[in-house]
Amino acid sequence: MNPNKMFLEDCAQIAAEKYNKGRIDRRQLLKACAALGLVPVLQSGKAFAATPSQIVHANWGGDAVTCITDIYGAAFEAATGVPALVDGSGPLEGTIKQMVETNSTIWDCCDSDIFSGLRLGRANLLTAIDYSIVDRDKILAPFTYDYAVLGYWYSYALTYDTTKFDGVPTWVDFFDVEKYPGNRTMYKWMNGAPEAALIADGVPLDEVYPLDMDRALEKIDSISDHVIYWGSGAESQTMFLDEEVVMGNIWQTRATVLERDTGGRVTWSWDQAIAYPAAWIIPGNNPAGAEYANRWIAQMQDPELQIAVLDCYGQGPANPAAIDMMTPEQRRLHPAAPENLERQLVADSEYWAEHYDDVLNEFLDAISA
Amino acid sequence: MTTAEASAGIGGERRGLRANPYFLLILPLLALLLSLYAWPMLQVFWISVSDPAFGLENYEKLFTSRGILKMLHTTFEVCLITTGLAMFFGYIVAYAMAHVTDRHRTLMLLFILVPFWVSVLARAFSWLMLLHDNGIVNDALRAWGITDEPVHLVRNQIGVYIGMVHYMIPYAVLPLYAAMRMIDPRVVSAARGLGAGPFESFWRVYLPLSLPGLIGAGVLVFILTLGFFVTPAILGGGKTMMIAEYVSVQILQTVRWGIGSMLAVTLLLIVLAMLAVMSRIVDLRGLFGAK
Repeated sequence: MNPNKMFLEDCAQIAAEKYNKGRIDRRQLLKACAALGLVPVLQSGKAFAATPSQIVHANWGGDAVTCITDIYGAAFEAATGVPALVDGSGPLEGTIKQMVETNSTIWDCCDSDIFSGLRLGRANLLTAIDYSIVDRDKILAPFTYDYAVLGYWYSYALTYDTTKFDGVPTWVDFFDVEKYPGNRTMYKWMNGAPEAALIADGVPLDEVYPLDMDRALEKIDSISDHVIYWGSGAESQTMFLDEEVVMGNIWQTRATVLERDTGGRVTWSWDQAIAYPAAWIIPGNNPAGAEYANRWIAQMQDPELQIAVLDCYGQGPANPAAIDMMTPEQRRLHPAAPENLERQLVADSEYWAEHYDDVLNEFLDAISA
Repeated sequence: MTTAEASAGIGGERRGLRANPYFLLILPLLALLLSLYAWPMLQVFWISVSDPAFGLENYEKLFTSRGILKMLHTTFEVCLITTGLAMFFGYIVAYAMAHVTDRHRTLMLLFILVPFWVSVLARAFSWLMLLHDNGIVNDALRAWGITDEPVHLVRNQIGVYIGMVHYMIPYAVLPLYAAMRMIDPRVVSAARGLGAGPFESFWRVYLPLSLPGLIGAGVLVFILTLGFFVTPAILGGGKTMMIAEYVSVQILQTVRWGIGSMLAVTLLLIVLAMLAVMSRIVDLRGLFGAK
């Protein structure tokens, strides 16, 4: 399609949206389309896909609710007239399955992991991403999948209390309670923990996957009396603020907040952190329809908005174009800035999609008293 | 009341119900329960024998899966110890309540009921704030020179017991107190008059008389502890996973609905079995305040 035609269609689409919202009448719409040399498809009085009354975006709560509403939501409403509502109750895989199977989906887009997107896609619980609306070029290769696209980056980074260490600790130090006494914290729902254990045990970064779980669990067991587990991001933050732990394997979004709130007492290292690609997914039978869900995702690909969200709560932009637009300080906080990403292990989403359930059960069995 | 009398009472009631037109008044509630409770329960049962394939494959895991066995072991161990501790402290409190003046009794009841009404989440977080390594209690212990190192009171199994026992004590006290009120205080006086010492008259007279209440409260507390989720999750530092949380993981995270629903059904059957056994020993209706 030539760019001019695309532009014309876009004008027509804007006219159609205005029509749908009642800002112009049918006659004006037809006139606008005639002027553009296009014939709109009028279905039961509505032009193009029916305009939904809202887009519901599900994520994991906290600052993400206001950040997504104020940044992507405001931009989307300005562009399409459709307001976005953010539901922070947590789109867990089981909840999505229950909604889709009982035909009672209330979410249009969910904040998930690429590996969860792969799992749910294979279980036929998602709507395929429409790459005529979502732009592949705005996503770092190869993180575009049939049922999921890279939404943002986050990392499990070694976060530590600088008053307890001379230099920057490594995973080897994390698993050495003789050298550095004190409690450590890891994620109760496992991700990041077995990887760190294997790296500490001497496995080179490129051989961490597929995980040798026996070896990882043995390593974790060796310090089990000194580990307390965090189940939510807020909990990991509290543990550092209350000085219950000297180091932790926690989300970098929380580490950056901790660094700010403690005046630098707590900080983190990108070295050997485990970077996870997060996903946007569209659950089956989403209420606003596939087109608008895809348009919502396309809206969230805007690099400037992605940087605004990074500033708002630390979510790392997925659009590579954002990197050149960042200040050095923003780059320092971004997990996927090349200088940070090259120091990290990127989680193997295929591995997790295949083994997540077995490995999680194995992990929970092992850490339980 | 003896078992014979109790069952005769229930039987009599049933005959009465059949003829009673007021029975119609509870039909809407019954319909509601059937549609919103019994029907979904049946669906849960169906999933447990049909996901991923039809058969008893999921139930087999109760005997073969090391992880599930370990989790069940943890669950029963934590529940038994919690029940034991809650009964011990609850008995003392109930005993005191049955013997103090009315004014003191009202005051005690207040202190038992106020935390009873506070949300389980708020209570768990309060314990965490009080007891963590740099919390008020540990700060005080260090300031008084009692300890140098922090005493780990939460984010481990001690924390789980503190939170759960605290939560369960009202459930132990109330039925125990109800049972103790029924005991004629003169029998203890009679025992003393006949030459028994204070301990002997308690051990041989009062305790056996309070035994039905003790068993009833014990079963009640045990059943309720089986469903604990939030308290161990918050106070256990992630290392105490009981059956309720395990079910939630299987439903929401690993999406193994077959195993999750199998465990839910198993838990329900255990509870029903315990209630059935209990109903043969004590008067359930009295225990739950139906009289």
